[in-house]
Amino acid sequence: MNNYNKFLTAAAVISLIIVLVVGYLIPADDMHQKIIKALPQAENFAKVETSPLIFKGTVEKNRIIEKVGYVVVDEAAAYGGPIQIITGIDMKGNIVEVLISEHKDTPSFIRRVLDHKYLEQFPGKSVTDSISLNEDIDGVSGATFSSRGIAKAVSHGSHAVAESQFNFNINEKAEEFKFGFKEGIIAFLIILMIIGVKFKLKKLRWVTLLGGLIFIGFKYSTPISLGNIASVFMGFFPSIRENLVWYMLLIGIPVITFAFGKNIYCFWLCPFGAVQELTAKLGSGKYKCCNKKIESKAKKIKYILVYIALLGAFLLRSPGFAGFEPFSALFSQQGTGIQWLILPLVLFTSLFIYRFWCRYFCPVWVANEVIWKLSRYIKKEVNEWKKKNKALEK
Amino acid sequence: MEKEKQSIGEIVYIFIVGLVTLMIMISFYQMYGSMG
Repeated sequence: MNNYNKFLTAAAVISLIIVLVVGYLIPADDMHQKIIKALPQAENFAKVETSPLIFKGTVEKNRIIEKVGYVVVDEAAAYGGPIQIITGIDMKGNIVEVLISEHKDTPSFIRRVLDHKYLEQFPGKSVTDSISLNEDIDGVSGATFSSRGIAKAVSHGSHAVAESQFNFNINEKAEEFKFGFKEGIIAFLIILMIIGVKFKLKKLRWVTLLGGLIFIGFKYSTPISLGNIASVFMGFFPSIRENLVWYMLLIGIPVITFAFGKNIYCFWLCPFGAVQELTAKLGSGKYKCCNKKIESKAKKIKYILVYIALLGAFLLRSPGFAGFEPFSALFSQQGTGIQWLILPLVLFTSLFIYRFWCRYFCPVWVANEVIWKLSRYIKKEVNEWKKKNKALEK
Repeated sequence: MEKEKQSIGEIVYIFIVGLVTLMIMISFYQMYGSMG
């Protein structure tokens, strides 16, 4: 890396850190209007609890202040980040309104939840009722993490009101550690990938790659995306008990990449990589650009895109902004706007150009590249340090 | 003839890479809009 590139990299990293800090300092939206909307019969609100935040709603009739209900603000983790929910409760202890106050989740998931009128399932439920996804209320397929996060926030908030304001004794169900087929098959693929790389079993690559395509891609739609990586930087971690796969991919894969000092995920597990390798087999996939200068310049596009995406995500405090890949358009048919044009164009081009997306645009490739380069740099430095020490001992 | 083919290939190549880049930029704009 020459001095100019070093300077650019340092400037980019420093500016991202500054924006990350600035994002934290920007005050959150005023939730007052939404609190009024959650309990419209109330004229005044007074804070009665802080964890979670509970407001008492009152009206004044003939100079007598009458309590009309409560509003509770609680949050839970979704796929891209936390969702903050405002729940209105009347004096009978029934939920009257559920609103999303703010969220850091992927916008397309939230839109899906709202389009399916998911929030309309909560009004009418009592504060003592159990609110579990797919048991007491129906989740929205394709937005399971968001559905679960909302249900959890409503359940936790309304139970807190039941206990602190209505003096009910609620036994919250303890969160169970989820390890089913999904977690098992993805763990199996990761182990297979490690074995394949460690013992150089190249034939295994197609097994893990196709496994990744079927399970990480089409079946569960959880490929690593820059949106997830931005969540890690912003400190948004989902519950490990319910989202073990998230930890396997977002913590496990970087650790494995660092340990091997190679970009393993992209070549052995990435479902979008698998799609491109299949299309390259269908077409010739052998077209090579032209001019090496143009090629090397074009390869830098992905670094600029990662920078813009992270800058936006940190500033907006929304990791979902960084997820510009067409992964969800392909694997869960949840593209946003122009992603529906990007996807066919990329797939068509990858018939002729091997791994077209990875080569010029993929942010996950960049993340893996940073990790393996860092790993090699540290290993090199440690080896040099050891050599120097040995020389000094002699 | 071969050179001409190569230069057309280059132009198409650059055009597609540029087009996808532009589309991704538009997707940032759309994403920003959907968050507002």
